[in-house]
Amino acid sequence: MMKGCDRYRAATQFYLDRELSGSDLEDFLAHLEKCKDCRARLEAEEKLSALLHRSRPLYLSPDALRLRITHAAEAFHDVIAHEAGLRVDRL
Amino acid sequence: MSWRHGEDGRVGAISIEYLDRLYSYALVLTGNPAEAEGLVEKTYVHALRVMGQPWPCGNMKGWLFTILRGAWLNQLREPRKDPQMAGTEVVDGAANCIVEPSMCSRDIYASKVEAEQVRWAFHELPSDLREIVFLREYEDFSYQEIACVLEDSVVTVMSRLARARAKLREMLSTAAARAIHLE
Repeated sequence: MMKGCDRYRAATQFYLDRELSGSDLEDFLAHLEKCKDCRARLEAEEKLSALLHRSRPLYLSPDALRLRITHAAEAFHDVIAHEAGLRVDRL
Repeated sequence: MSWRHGEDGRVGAISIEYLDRLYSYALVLTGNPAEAEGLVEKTYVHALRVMGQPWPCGNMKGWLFTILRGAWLNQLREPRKDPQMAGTEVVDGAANCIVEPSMCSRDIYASKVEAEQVRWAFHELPSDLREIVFLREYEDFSYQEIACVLEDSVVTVMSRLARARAKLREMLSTAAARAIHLE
Protein backbone atom coordinates (compact mmCIF):
# COMPACT_ATOMS: atom_id res chain seq x y z
CA MET A 1 0.00 0.00 0.00
CA MET A 2 1.29 3.42 -0.93
CA LYS A 3 1.72 6.20 1.57
CA GLY A 4 -1.44 8.30 1.84
CA CYS A 5 -3.82 5.62 0.55
CA ASP A 6 -6.20 6.27 3.45
CA ARG A 7 -6.76 9.71 1.96
CA TYR A 8 -8.17 8.04 -1.16
CA ARG A 9 -10.42 5.55 0.61
CA ALA A 10 -13.41 7.93 0.57
CA ALA A 11 -12.48 9.14 -2.91
CA THR A 12 -12.96 5.60 -4.21
CA GLN A 13 -16.61 5.72 -3.17
CA PHE A 14 -17.08 9.25 -4.54
CA TYR A 15 -15.55 8.18 -7.85
CA LEU A 16 -17.80 5.14 -8.03
CA ASP A 17 -20.85 7.31 -7.35
CA ARG A 18 -19.79 9.95 -9.91
CA GLU A 19 -19.43 12.50 -7.12
CA LEU A 20 -15.79 13.35 -7.83
CA SER A 21 -14.89 16.20 -10.16
CA GLY A 22 -12.24 18.78 -11.09
CA SER A 23 -8.85 18.59 -9.42
CA ASP A 24 -10.07 15.97 -6.92
CA LEU A 25 -10.90 13.65 -9.80
CA GLU A 26 -7.57 14.30 -11.52
CA ASP A 27 -5.70 13.71 -8.27
CA PHE A 28 -7.55 10.44 -7.64
CA LEU A 29 -6.98 9.15 -11.17
CA ALA A 30 -3.27 10.00 -10.96
CA HIS A 31 -3.01 8.08 -7.69
CA LEU A 32 -4.93 5.16 -9.17
CA GLU A 33 -2.37 4.90 -12.00
CA LYS A 34 0.37 4.32 -9.45
CA CYS A 35 -1.41 2.36 -6.72
CA LYS A 36 -2.29 -1.30 -7.17
CA ASP A 37 -4.13 -1.54 -3.82
CA CYS A 38 -6.44 1.35 -4.59
CA ARG A 39 -7.17 -0.11 -8.02
CA ALA A 40 -8.06 -3.41 -6.36
CA ARG A 41 -10.32 -1.59 -3.89
CA LEU A 42 -12.06 0.24 -6.70
CA GLU A 43 -12.52 -3.00 -8.64
CA ALA A 44 -14.13 -4.63 -5.59
CA GLU A 45 -16.49 -1.67 -5.19
CA GLU A 46 -17.36 -1.73 -8.89
CA LYS A 47 -18.04 -5.45 -8.73
CA LEU A 48 -20.48 -5.00 -5.84
CA SER A 49 -22.19 -2.14 -7.60
CA ALA A 50 -22.52 -4.19 -10.80
CA LEU A 51 -24.01 -7.08 -8.81
CA LEU A 52 -26.66 -4.78 -7.39
CA HIS A 53 -27.38 -3.25 -10.79
CA ARG A 54 -27.88 -6.70 -12.28
CA SER A 55 -30.60 -7.41 -9.72
CA ARG A 56 -32.64 -4.36 -10.84
CA PRO A 57 -35.54 -3.79 -10.83
CA LEU A 58 -36.31 -4.95 -7.32
CA TYR A 59 -40.09 -5.04 -7.74
CA LEU A 60 -42.78 -4.25 -10.26
CA SER A 61 -46.00 -2.63 -9.12
CA PRO A 62 -49.21 -4.69 -9.36
CA ASP A 63 -51.45 -3.96 -12.37
CA ALA A 64 -54.39 -3.22 -10.05
CA LEU A 65 -52.41 -0.44 -8.36
CA ARG A 66 -51.42 1.03 -11.72
CA LEU A 67 -55.06 1.08 -12.74
CA ARG A 68 -56.22 2.73 -9.50
CA ILE A 69 -53.59 5.46 -9.77
CA THR A 70 -54.42 6.11 -13.42
CA HIS A 71 -58.15 6.41 -12.62
CA ALA A 72 -57.49 8.67 -9.62
CA ALA A 73 -55.33 11.00 -11.75
CA GLU A 74 -57.93 11.10 -14.54
CA ALA A 75 -60.74 11.82 -12.07
CA PHE A 76 -58.68 14.58 -10.51
CA HIS A 77 -58.01 16.20 -13.87
CA ASP A 78 -61.70 15.97 -14.78
CA VAL A 79 -62.55 17.89 -11.59
CA ILE A 80 -59.89 20.51 -12.30
CA ALA A 81 -61.10 20.88 -15.90
CA HIS A 82 -64.72 21.14 -14.71
CA GLU A 83 -63.84 23.80 -12.13
CA ALA A 84 -61.85 25.75 -14.71
CA GLY A 85 -64.89 25.60 -17.02
CA LEU A 86 -67.16 26.91 -14.27
CA ARG A 87 -64.80 29.80 -13.60
CA VAL A 88 -64.78 30.71 -17.28
CA ASP A 89 -68.61 30.51 -17.37
CA ARG A 90 -68.89 32.97 -14.49
CA LEU A 91 -66.78 35.60 -16.24
CA MET B 1 -50.36 10.16 -19.38
CA SER B 2 -47.25 12.14 -18.52
CA TRP B 3 -45.90 14.85 -16.26
CA ARG B 4 -45.73 18.30 -17.68
CA HIS B 5 -43.82 21.05 -16.00
CA GLY B 6 -43.14 24.64 -16.77
CA GLU B 7 -39.84 26.44 -17.03
CA ASP B 8 -40.05 27.31 -13.34
CA GLY B 9 -39.89 23.59 -12.42
CA ARG B 10 -43.53 23.34 -11.38
CA VAL B 11 -45.69 20.35 -12.07
CA GLY B 12 -48.61 20.83 -14.44
CA ALA B 13 -49.93 17.28 -14.90
CA ILE B 14 -49.44 13.84 -13.45
CA SER B 15 -47.78 10.67 -14.71
CA ILE B 16 -47.32 7.08 -13.64
CA GLU B 17 -43.74 6.99 -14.93
CA TYR B 18 -42.33 6.50 -11.45
CA LEU B 19 -44.92 4.03 -10.22
CA ASP B 20 -42.64 0.95 -10.12
CA ARG B 21 -39.88 2.94 -8.44
CA LEU B 22 -42.21 4.37 -5.82
CA TYR B 23 -43.73 0.96 -5.18
CA SER B 24 -40.24 -0.54 -4.76
CA TYR B 25 -39.28 2.23 -2.33
CA ALA B 26 -42.49 1.71 -0.37
CA LEU B 27 -41.75 -2.03 -0.18
CA VAL B 28 -38.20 -1.35 0.98
CA LEU B 29 -39.59 0.88 3.75
CA THR B 30 -42.53 -1.25 4.86
CA GLY B 31 -41.71 -4.80 3.76
CA ASN B 32 -45.42 -5.28 3.23
CA PRO B 33 -47.09 -5.25 -0.25
CA ALA B 34 -50.48 -4.04 1.00
CA GLU B 35 -48.90 -1.21 2.99
CA ALA B 36 -46.67 -0.35 0.05
CA GLU B 37 -49.67 -0.02 -2.26
CA GLY B 38 -51.39 2.22 0.28
CA LEU B 39 -48.33 4.44 0.54
CA VAL B 40 -48.05 4.82 -3.22
CA GLU B 41 -51.72 5.78 -3.45
CA LYS B 42 -51.27 8.35 -0.67
CA THR B 43 -48.23 9.71 -2.51
CA TYR B 44 -50.11 10.25 -5.77
CA VAL B 45 -53.17 11.73 -4.04
CA HIS B 46 -50.92 14.16 -2.17
CA ALA B 47 -48.94 14.99 -5.33
CA LEU B 48 -52.15 15.75 -7.21
CA ARG B 49 -53.34 18.04 -4.42
CA VAL B 50 -50.15 20.09 -4.26
CA MET B 51 -49.49 20.04 -7.99
CA GLY B 52 -47.94 23.31 -9.11
CA GLN B 53 -45.76 23.82 -6.06
CA PRO B 54 -41.97 23.87 -6.55
CA TRP B 55 -40.11 20.57 -6.12
CA PRO B 56 -38.08 20.61 -2.88
CA CYS B 57 -35.46 18.12 -4.10
CA GLY B 58 -34.88 19.81 -7.43
CA ASN B 59 -36.73 17.31 -9.59
CA MET B 60 -40.04 15.52 -9.76
CA LYS B 61 -38.68 12.09 -8.89
CA GLY B 62 -37.04 13.33 -5.69
CA TRP B 63 -40.20 15.25 -4.86
CA LEU B 64 -42.36 12.11 -5.16
CA PHE B 65 -39.92 10.06 -3.09
CA THR B 66 -39.98 12.78 -0.41
CA ILE B 67 -43.79 12.70 -0.32
CA LEU B 68 -43.78 8.91 -0.03
CA ARG B 69 -41.27 8.95 2.81
CA GLY B 70 -43.28 11.63 4.61
CA ALA B 71 -46.42 9.50 4.28
CA TRP B 72 -44.52 6.50 5.66
CA LEU B 73 -43.22 8.50 8.64
CA ASN B 74 -46.79 9.70 9.37
CA GLN B 75 -47.96 6.12 9.19
CA LEU B 76 -45.31 5.03 11.70
CA ARG B 77 -46.61 7.63 14.15
CA GLU B 78 -50.14 6.25 13.93
CA PRO B 79 -51.15 3.38 16.21
CA ARG B 80 -50.89 0.11 14.28
CA LYS B 81 -53.53 -2.57 14.07
CA ASP B 82 -51.25 -5.25 12.63
CA PRO B 83 -47.63 -4.56 13.65
CA GLN B 84 -45.02 -5.83 11.19
CA MET B 85 -41.30 -5.35 10.92
CA ALA B 86 -40.01 -3.74 7.75
CA GLY B 87 -38.38 -6.17 5.39
CA THR B 88 -39.71 -9.35 6.96
CA GLU B 89 -42.40 -10.24 4.44
CA VAL B 90 -41.01 -9.44 1.04
CA VAL B 91 -37.96 -11.28 -0.20
CA ASP B 92 -38.54 -12.37 -3.78
CA GLY B 93 -38.97 -9.63 -6.36
CA ALA B 94 -40.72 -9.59 -9.71
CA ALA B 95 -37.27 -9.25 -11.22
CA ASN B 96 -36.63 -12.91 -10.40
CA CYS B 97 -38.23 -13.70 -13.75
CA ILE B 98 -36.02 -11.38 -15.76
CA VAL B 99 -33.18 -13.10 -17.66
CA GLU B 100 -31.25 -12.40 -20.80
CA PRO B 101 -32.74 -14.36 -23.74
CA SER B 102 -29.28 -15.25 -25.08
CA MET B 103 -28.15 -16.99 -21.89
CA CYS B 104 -27.71 -20.77 -21.78
CA SER B 105 -29.38 -22.69 -18.96
CA ARG B 106 -26.22 -22.88 -16.81
CA ASP B 107 -25.73 -19.12 -17.14
CA ILE B 108 -29.38 -18.54 -16.31
CA TYR B 109 -29.00 -20.69 -13.19
CA ALA B 110 -25.80 -18.89 -12.14
CA SER B 111 -27.39 -15.52 -12.82
CA LYS B 112 -30.49 -16.44 -10.82
CA VAL B 113 -28.45 -17.70 -7.88
CA GLU B 114 -26.36 -14.53 -7.95
CA ALA B 115 -29.45 -12.30 -8.06
CA GLU B 116 -31.03 -14.25 -5.21
CA GLN B 117 -27.89 -13.88 -3.11
CA VAL B 118 -27.79 -10.15 -3.77
CA ARG B 119 -31.46 -9.72 -2.84
CA TRP B 120 -30.98 -11.87 0.26
CA ALA B 121 -28.03 -9.74 1.40
CA PHE B 122 -29.94 -6.56 0.59
CA HIS B 123 -32.91 -7.63 2.71
CA GLU B 124 -30.62 -8.68 5.57
CA LEU B 125 -29.26 -5.14 5.89
CA PRO B 126 -30.53 -2.99 8.76
CA SER B 127 -33.43 -0.83 7.52
CA ASP B 128 -31.50 2.48 7.40
CA LEU B 129 -28.67 0.90 5.39
CA ARG B 130 -31.10 -0.91 3.10
CA GLU B 131 -32.85 2.35 2.32
CA ILE B 132 -29.64 4.16 1.43
CA VAL B 133 -28.43 1.34 -0.84
CA PHE B 134 -31.81 1.36 -2.57
CA LEU B 135 -31.73 5.10 -3.20
CA ARG B 136 -28.16 5.04 -4.52
CA GLU B 137 -27.74 1.70 -6.30
CA TYR B 138 -31.27 1.02 -7.48
CA GLU B 139 -32.50 4.59 -8.04
CA ASP B 140 -29.25 6.37 -8.96
CA PHE B 141 -29.94 9.36 -6.73
CA SER B 142 -26.97 11.65 -6.07
CA TYR B 143 -25.74 12.19 -2.50
CA GLN B 144 -27.45 15.58 -2.48
CA GLU B 145 -30.75 14.13 -3.65
CA ILE B 146 -30.59 11.32 -1.09
CA ALA B 147 -29.87 13.85 1.66
CA CYS B 148 -32.92 15.82 0.52
CA VAL B 149 -35.22 12.78 0.48
CA LEU B 150 -33.98 11.63 3.90
CA GLU B 151 -33.82 15.19 5.28
CA ASP B 152 -30.31 14.45 6.50
CA SER B 153 -26.80 15.71 5.76
CA VAL B 154 -24.66 14.64 2.79
CA VAL B 155 -21.95 13.54 5.25
CA THR B 156 -24.39 11.15 6.93
CA VAL B 157 -25.44 9.81 3.53
CA MET B 158 -21.81 9.15 2.57
CA SER B 159 -20.86 7.39 5.79
CA ARG B 160 -24.05 5.32 5.87
CA LEU B 161 -23.51 4.27 2.27
CA ALA B 162 -19.93 3.22 3.02
CA ARG B 163 -21.13 1.14 5.99
CA ALA B 164 -23.89 -0.43 3.91
CA ARG B 165 -21.51 -1.45 1.13
CA ALA B 166 -19.00 -2.89 3.60
CA LYS B 167 -21.77 -4.93 5.21
CA LEU B 168 -23.07 -6.12 1.82
CA ARG B 169 -19.59 -7.18 0.70
CA GLU B 170 -19.10 -9.10 3.92
CA MET B 171 -22.44 -10.92 3.61
CA LEU B 172 -21.96 -11.73 -0.07
CA SER B 173 -18.44 -13.09 0.41
CA THR B 174 -19.72 -15.28 3.28
CA ALA B 175 -22.55 -16.51 1.05
CA ALA B 176 -20.13 -17.19 -1.82
CA ALA B 177 -17.74 -19.09 0.48
CA ARG B 178 -20.66 -21.17 1.77
CA ALA B 179 -21.77 -21.94 -1.80
CA ILE B 180 -18.25 -23.12 -2.76
CA HIS B 181 -18.13 -25.29 0.36
CA LEU B 182 -21.44 -26.96 -0.57
CA GLU B 183 -20.37 -27.69 -4.18
